[in-house]
Amino acid sequence: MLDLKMRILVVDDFSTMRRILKNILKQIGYTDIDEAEDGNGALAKLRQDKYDLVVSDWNMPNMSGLDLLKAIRADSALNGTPVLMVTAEAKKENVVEAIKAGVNNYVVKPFTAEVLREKIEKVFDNK
Amino acid sequence: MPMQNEVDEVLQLIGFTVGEERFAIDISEVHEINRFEHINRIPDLPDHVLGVIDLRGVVIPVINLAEKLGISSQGITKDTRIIIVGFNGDKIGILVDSVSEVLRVSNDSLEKPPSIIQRVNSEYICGIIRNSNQLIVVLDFLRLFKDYSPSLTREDLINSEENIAPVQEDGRNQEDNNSDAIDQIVEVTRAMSEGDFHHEIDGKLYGQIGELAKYINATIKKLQTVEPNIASATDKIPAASLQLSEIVKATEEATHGVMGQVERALDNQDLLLYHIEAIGKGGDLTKEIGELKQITADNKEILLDIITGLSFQDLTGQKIKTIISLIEEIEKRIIHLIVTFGLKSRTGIEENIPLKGFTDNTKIEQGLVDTILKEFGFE
Repeated sequence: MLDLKMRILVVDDFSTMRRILKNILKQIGYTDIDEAEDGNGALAKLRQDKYDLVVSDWNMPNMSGLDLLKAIRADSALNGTPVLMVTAEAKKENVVEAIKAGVNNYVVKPFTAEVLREKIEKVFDNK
Repeated sequence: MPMQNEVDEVLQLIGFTVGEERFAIDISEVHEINRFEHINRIPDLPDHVLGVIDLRGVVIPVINLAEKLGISSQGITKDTRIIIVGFNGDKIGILVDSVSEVLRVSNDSLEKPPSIIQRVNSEYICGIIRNSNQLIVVLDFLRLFKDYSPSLTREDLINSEENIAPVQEDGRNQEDNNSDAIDQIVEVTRAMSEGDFHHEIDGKLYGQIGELAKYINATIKKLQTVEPNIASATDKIPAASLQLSEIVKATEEATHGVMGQVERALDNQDLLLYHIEAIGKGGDLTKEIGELKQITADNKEILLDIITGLSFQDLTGQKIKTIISLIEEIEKRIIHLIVTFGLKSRTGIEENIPLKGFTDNTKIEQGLVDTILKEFGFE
């Protein structure tokens, strides 16, 4: 079962995309959602507070989603945090690269609320 | 616009360094200059090809120029740059130690490489210029990598690079000679900059350089005739990017507007449910129905607001059409340029040839992503 109380960090450089993700997550039932506009902002937040899940875009200025993922996995305080990629970067090598870097699951934009929900469930089933 | 007075024969060059040597390239060949970031290594590539970079979704091979020229580089420093150059309709990245300056020199100051250059296949040298007592070798990347031509594919690029891999003395091939030639030219250039002008002369080579100089001269003359066209076309690019920035802003605002309305409607849905449940539990029927009417009226208003809000498409659509016509204008002028240069033989290059090792370089959908995930043990 999904823990609807968990704290989620949404990372995307587009404010509209962050809002769409927040709305979908709210419809699924999550209430504690924070946001960051790139990998750097996300890392700063992750190091300050505890988050249960990171939902990140790939292509962002300053620090990409992939670099964020690598930074999370390289940080002993953060490396247990699940990361879900939600991205338009959907070439095979992107997916493989993300998997190798330790992604927990991968959603291709555009996506439906149903797919997002299913993927989040899988992230926590596999943990 | 270019200056039309006495300086109508002007070359603009990007100066850069590899190791201790100074080089330059015609600015018109340069698409952009990027800082060194991560280069994805691909197995089985020759030493000259460092790997590939992802340039805004396009996979571009990166060539180590130092390796190609056979000189030692400074290694990766904060000054390391990747110069992205157009190459037969594709792009390739050239790794250099630093990009020093934009040089504006008169056409006359482009000197023929001196005859002392020996046994060297120097087709890729446009000429040599003097700049504050230093000699700068002006390179022609298109010719430097001509072995990948004429109908270059990424596959060819890799294959021809492989052919340059070291072989035994008895098995030397043309590419080796080129590679040697590059070594020699660098050697000679170095010697020249150290004041040693007594290298042997190779008559055949001198002939080639003469041919090259003639070709370059003709090319520059042609370039000057079309330059006003290029300049007036490129003048329009800032206008196009301004329009595009406005579209990005307008669509963002409009999308937020629509989302705000949708969020209100979603809240109203919850309210409707709440009142319907209240009726089910035997609440005050008149009061609850009044609430329901109020909420549905509100929702109707929201839906109409959304429709009005979507009218941003009309505004952005018009802006996009303006941009399209600007691009068509630029395209027309570039075609004129291509015709002037007689580059027809280079058209028809196959596009999107997958890079070796990348069996599928196209966009894939969620279903395929899931298949890949499964392969890696994801449930």
